[in-house]
Amino acid sequence: MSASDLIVNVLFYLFAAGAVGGALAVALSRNIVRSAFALLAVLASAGALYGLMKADFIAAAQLLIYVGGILVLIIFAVMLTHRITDVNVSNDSAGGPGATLACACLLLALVSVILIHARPLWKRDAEPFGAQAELVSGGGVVDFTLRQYQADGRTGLERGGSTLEERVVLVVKPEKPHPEALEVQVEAVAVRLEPKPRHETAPKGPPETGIVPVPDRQPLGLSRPIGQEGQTRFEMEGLPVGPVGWRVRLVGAEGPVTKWTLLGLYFSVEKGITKPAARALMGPYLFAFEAVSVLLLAALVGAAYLARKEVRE
Amino acid sequence: MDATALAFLSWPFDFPWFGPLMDAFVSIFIVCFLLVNFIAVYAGLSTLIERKVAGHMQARVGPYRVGPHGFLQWIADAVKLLLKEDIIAKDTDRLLFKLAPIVVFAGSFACWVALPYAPHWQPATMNIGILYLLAVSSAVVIGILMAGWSSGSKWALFGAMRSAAQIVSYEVPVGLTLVAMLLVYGSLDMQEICARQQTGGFFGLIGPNTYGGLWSWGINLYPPVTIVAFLVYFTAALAETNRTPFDIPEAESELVAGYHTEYSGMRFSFFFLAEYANMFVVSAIATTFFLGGWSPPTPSVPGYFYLAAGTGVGLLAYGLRKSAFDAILGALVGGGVGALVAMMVAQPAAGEAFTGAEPPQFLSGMFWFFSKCFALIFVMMWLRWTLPRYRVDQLMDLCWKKLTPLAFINLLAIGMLEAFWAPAALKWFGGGK
Repeated sequence: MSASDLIVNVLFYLFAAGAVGGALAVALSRNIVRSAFALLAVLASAGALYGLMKADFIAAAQLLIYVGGILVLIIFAVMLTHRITDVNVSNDSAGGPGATLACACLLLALVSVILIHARPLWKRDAEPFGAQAELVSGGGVVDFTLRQYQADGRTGLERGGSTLEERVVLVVKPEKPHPEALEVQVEAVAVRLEPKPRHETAPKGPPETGIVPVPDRQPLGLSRPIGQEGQTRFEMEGLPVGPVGWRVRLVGAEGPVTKWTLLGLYFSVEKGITKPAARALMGPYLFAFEAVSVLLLAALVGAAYLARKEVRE
Repeated sequence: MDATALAFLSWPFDFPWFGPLMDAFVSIFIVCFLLVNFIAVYAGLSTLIERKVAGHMQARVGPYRVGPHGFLQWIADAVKLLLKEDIIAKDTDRLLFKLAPIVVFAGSFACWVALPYAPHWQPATMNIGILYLLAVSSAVVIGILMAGWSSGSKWALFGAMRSAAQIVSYEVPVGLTLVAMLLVYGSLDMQEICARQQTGGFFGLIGPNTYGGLWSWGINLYPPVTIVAFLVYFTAALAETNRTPFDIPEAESELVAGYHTEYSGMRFSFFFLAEYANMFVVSAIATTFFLGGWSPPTPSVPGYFYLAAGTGVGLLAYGLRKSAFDAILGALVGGGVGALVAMMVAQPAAGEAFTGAEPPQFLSGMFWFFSKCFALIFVMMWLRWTLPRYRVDQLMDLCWKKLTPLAFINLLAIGMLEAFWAPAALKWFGGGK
């Protein structure tokens, strides 16, 4: 485990403890105002956990909406009830069996969602998407298998996938040992994706994209001795934002043995999740997003109604 | 944080895993240590300047006894606050009472790490910059409510309720004006917003490859509309910092001192620090969005222009005395002044990408960013000592019936201009592209 992983892990457990501790304080405090304030710890910790997952936009939105909006609303609603100093208005007055039932239902829903939708941990290290490449040299054709991974070196990146990290691992594995080649050179190139005309490909389905290198961007290169058996790992850092492709060549004792070959693999480096989140919210999830906003409006109206009722009595 | 500075500071600890760990600690320590101390000194000096400004505005002297011209008054104030007895009244909720100043200060301090002090120089670079600032500063409201409720005093509770209502209400026009400007910038990153205000601008009449200086600033993008946006933002931001004319949460004629009535000593001074820290953050956001951030107000001319101009002016001014020695002296003095000015305002040649934080750029960026921020802070002080206080109902009236509709119209106008005018302007005045 590297040092940055260590820091991230320590922070994760810190914020997880904050979230759980805050939630316990919300549930167990005998003072309803303290419960409301303990929500701050829960919501802020949840925001920090989103931040640790590199979901920066979601983290900020969490703080902005929940801490800045909803928590203030809740505290106002709590303070506007005039029995605030009465100790009976606390968690103890809620029915035990009902609360247990509700919590059990929520737990069931959570577990079933995890079981149905989340990708199990043990399947995560399965074979990622690989690409075959042919390098033509004087000595014949060499076949390669290439796989691209995220920065941790385990999680596979599919062709055309995207990553938030500026570091990506490429694993090159020659099918059989090559007599002349001593080194394998890999370069990450900024590419442009151009849709091929539809009639050249299959008539149905999404149009296939061709990868065109961007000429004025400097490629990022690494050179390693070729593994006679087994594979060679390349860790690329500081990748440019946007679509990135790979090109490979073999180098012998007297210079390059093969030409640069652009591979069919590419991925894109995203800078933050603001754009993907915006696309998702304005695209496939537009209705869900609007429906949730109606829910918030209902909560607001409910709070206002409760507060008014107290005054009328 | 500068990478070379970090490498230099952490060289003794270059063990395989110890290094990065220490790097992280060193950077966190430097950022926190420098910023906290800067805030303390800045807030102290601001109180002094505030009192001096108040004195001059009201034709009286202001603090004059401690040190020359009363210059050391702020240190005396700080020492007094540190030495005061820490009083906690009987009816307080002790836990929340002690927590509240920390939450308020943390909310405004956390904003300081995401401000663009100079090109490529920002304690924490994040591409959600402005969103982070708005999100983190919302903790201040919670802290104020906490302080007001836990004090066990009606004055404090009233002040906290007023303050929270005011901050939550005025967040609407603030957010709307910022959204309108974000339509133009197309990025949440504070550095990118600053960089965007170096080129183009003024209804697209200045091409995207020309450095327009003052004319490229956000306030000059679509002048009548963006100036209104700036005024709306500044007014609403003033209300968000609870300062006069919007300081009804701590109106001393009605509420003693509002939400911090029951606080004394160091806990009280944390609220004070937070108020001044907030003023700076608000001014920094206004500077970044409307006043060009760290970019100098001069249109694009390379640095040697100032050198040449200074030399020429000096040559003429002294050369008129018709002596070779005078002319040479004049050229030297003028050139020196020109070089100094160049260091403060010179920009990279037009069309070139911004690369790295070279010392002159870094210095000039710092200089302009802080100058603009302090100018805005001065305006805040000026308003405080010349305007009377609003009433609660007038305050809400101003927010919901005037500023919010204005901000909406503004958003619509900037959106229309950006959608219909900007592409046409780019086609007509785009400079060949």
